[in-house]
Amino acid sequence: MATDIRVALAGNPNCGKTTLFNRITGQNGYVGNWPGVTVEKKEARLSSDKNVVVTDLPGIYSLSPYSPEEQVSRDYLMSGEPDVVVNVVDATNLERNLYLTLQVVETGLPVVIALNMADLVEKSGDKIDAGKLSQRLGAPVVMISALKGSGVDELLRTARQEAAKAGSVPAHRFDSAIEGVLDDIEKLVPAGVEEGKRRYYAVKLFERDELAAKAISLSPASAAKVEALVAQCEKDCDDDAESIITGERYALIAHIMDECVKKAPAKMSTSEKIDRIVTNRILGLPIFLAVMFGVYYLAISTFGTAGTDWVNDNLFGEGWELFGAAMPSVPDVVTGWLEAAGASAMVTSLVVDGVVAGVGAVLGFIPQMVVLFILLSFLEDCGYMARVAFVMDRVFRRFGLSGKSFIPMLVSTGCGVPGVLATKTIENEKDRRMTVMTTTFIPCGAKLPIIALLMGALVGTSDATWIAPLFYFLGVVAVIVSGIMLKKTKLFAGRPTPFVMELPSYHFPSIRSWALHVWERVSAYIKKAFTIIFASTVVVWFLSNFGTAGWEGGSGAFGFLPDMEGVPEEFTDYSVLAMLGGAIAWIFAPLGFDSWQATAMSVTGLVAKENVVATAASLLHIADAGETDPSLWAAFAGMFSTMGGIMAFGAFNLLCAPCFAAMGTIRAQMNSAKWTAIALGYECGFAWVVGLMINQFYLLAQGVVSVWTVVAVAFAALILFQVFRPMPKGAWDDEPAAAAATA
Amino acid sequence: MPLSMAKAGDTVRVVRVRGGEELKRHLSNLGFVEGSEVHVVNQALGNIIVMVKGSRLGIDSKTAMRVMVA
Repeated sequence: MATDIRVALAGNPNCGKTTLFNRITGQNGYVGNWPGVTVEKKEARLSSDKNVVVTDLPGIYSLSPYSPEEQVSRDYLMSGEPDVVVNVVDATNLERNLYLTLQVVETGLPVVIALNMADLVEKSGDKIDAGKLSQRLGAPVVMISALKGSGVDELLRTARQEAAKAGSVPAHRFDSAIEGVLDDIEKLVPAGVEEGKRRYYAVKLFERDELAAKAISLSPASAAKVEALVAQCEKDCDDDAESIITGERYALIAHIMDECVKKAPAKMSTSEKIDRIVTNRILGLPIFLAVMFGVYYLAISTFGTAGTDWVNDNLFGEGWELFGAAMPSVPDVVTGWLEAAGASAMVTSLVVDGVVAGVGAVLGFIPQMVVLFILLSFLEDCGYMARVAFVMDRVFRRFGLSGKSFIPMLVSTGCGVPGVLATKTIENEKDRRMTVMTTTFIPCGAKLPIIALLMGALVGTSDATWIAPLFYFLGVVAVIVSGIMLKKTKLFAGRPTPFVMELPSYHFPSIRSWALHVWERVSAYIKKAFTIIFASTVVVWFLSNFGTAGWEGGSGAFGFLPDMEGVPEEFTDYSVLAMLGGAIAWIFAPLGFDSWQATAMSVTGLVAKENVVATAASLLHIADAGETDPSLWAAFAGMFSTMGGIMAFGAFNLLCAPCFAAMGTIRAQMNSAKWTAIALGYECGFAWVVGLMINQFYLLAQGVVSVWTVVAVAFAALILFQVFRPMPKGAWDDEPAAAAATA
Repeated sequence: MPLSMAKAGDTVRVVRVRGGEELKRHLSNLGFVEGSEVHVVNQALGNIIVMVKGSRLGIDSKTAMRVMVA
């Protein structure tokens, strides 16, 4: 077997590395049109040749070791592992991208430059002379389109040829004055460092890069000589060493651009025109609100519901018609099979009332899920999300968070797990922790069924277009209120980090990646339905069907309740689940949902949010077996005594600690048991308080007053106080301390 | 003047970047070096969108105040 060839993909954030990676390896990694989607390096083998291992590195602007992404990328490149580096360059943004290219070429590794989005450049009328560019940079240049796949074969062929070479010596040179100093420094680089890497270390030593000095174990004597050379040069140029090199690189790039690129006459681009509108200081925020309202309206109230209603009513309800022929519903079919197989009543109940009802209820939401993810994927891929972060930065900055914190929240609209992961791009540790804590307040896809269920229960139809977006904005408000409150505590005080973010050009997503994105999310949802939700419904079925015959005239024995003598219609009230739920139902009594069913739904919701609906369906099916009206909505509403209770139930379940998967991600991200406990505790506590206030104020409006009314008022006053009191003195002055803590 | 005071449609040149070492380094890596041409795309309450070295950046007002332009 031939030895593996290792190819590293390096480039600026959002230049299309992951799109290329997905294309050549057949992987389905997460891509989005904003900077910082990939935060850790990923590895996979080429689909066309299993001997080639490709590593997708996080996007970076520079090879300095000052951000975690830069460190990951630099360490890997300098580890000696990669045989060839493919530097992916966004050709529509050549000037800034070449800044990294110069540094990659300086490493002395074999490099191939992939000019991505070459087709877009041609469209704009600009002309790039690839041959000349290759000559100036001392590395082969290949024009590709990662999205469409053109040029990719040639790129791989070239990469393979380059990988066979030992390395390269960078061709580009800076201003002669600087070069003289670099030559002198290069002589001080220890003899053990190979020829091609000497210049790289010379430049790094000039920049006073301590990690690089350590890597080549520079002797103290040489280090002192280097320092003298650098200090003299700084004096001559009247600038610090790092700025000198940065300036030199950009000056060189300006020359290269002049020689290799013919620019079409500049005109206002479409992106610029769109930006004038969507980031407008008056219209920006309303446009964003309208967009999110539209997403939820379309997903829940129109196409999505039509599909879901059909699935629930026909597939899982009363049967359906295919070309005029009556088709039986799934539960009927399954019951038929079981009867034919001679299954006992107990098994039939488990399968039909427990699993089919529970899993079916979750599967019923697939049409809404598809619509939601189609819309969200479009928003993520087209480039609008980065603008939203920019617009929201103004809002967030008022209470001390950067707009960067908004990106995880947008991702969380799909799923909380990647949402929590996306917090990695937030440099400030306090801000990052706070964002991890609050980002799952935003309703994710799995909470959509809860919202739909609540909507049906509250209003009875899907006409109530305002409810679904309302819960989304409840999430946003929860984030903002929490942000304001937490920022005034010692744990999170600190100045907001600067917001400097690249805004990519708008583009229409490729149908392939769009479809893949939607399929990935929907298939994960389906997989969950058949694994976690399936297991949970089985547990719920057992717990709600077995119990002690404690009713009047009952034997007091433990067993399968429906088979017992003299069993009452509401037998589930005597089940183990009723007992367990009832034991902790007091927690939720002030919130207006003290029934053991609602408690059980909330608890199973902590495993996975889909469980709320699955458990409801299972419980209702078991209780209502034989009844003709299968409407989940009406039966669900029947579990509560007031509207306030339903709304409080909704608020609690949307805001409390997320599912197991997201909790695990929070644990991994916080990397501390204490902080994980703080995060989950805050989420549950906040959810409980919000639920309490909703229910008690609803009751108050009805004229019902109790001790809990006072508690609710007290909490509301406390929140208002914390939100509106001025920032404690000195809270924002500890920036250096915070920065030190991060480092 | 600080970049935060530039108007939409203006094209200006970077004179100097003030501020902490980390911010300065980040901005210069992105192309805010002495003499760089900066085109202002949009400006709203001090937050600003600019084109620099061929790429589009969104910058908050505090940071934009640290970039001196002429």
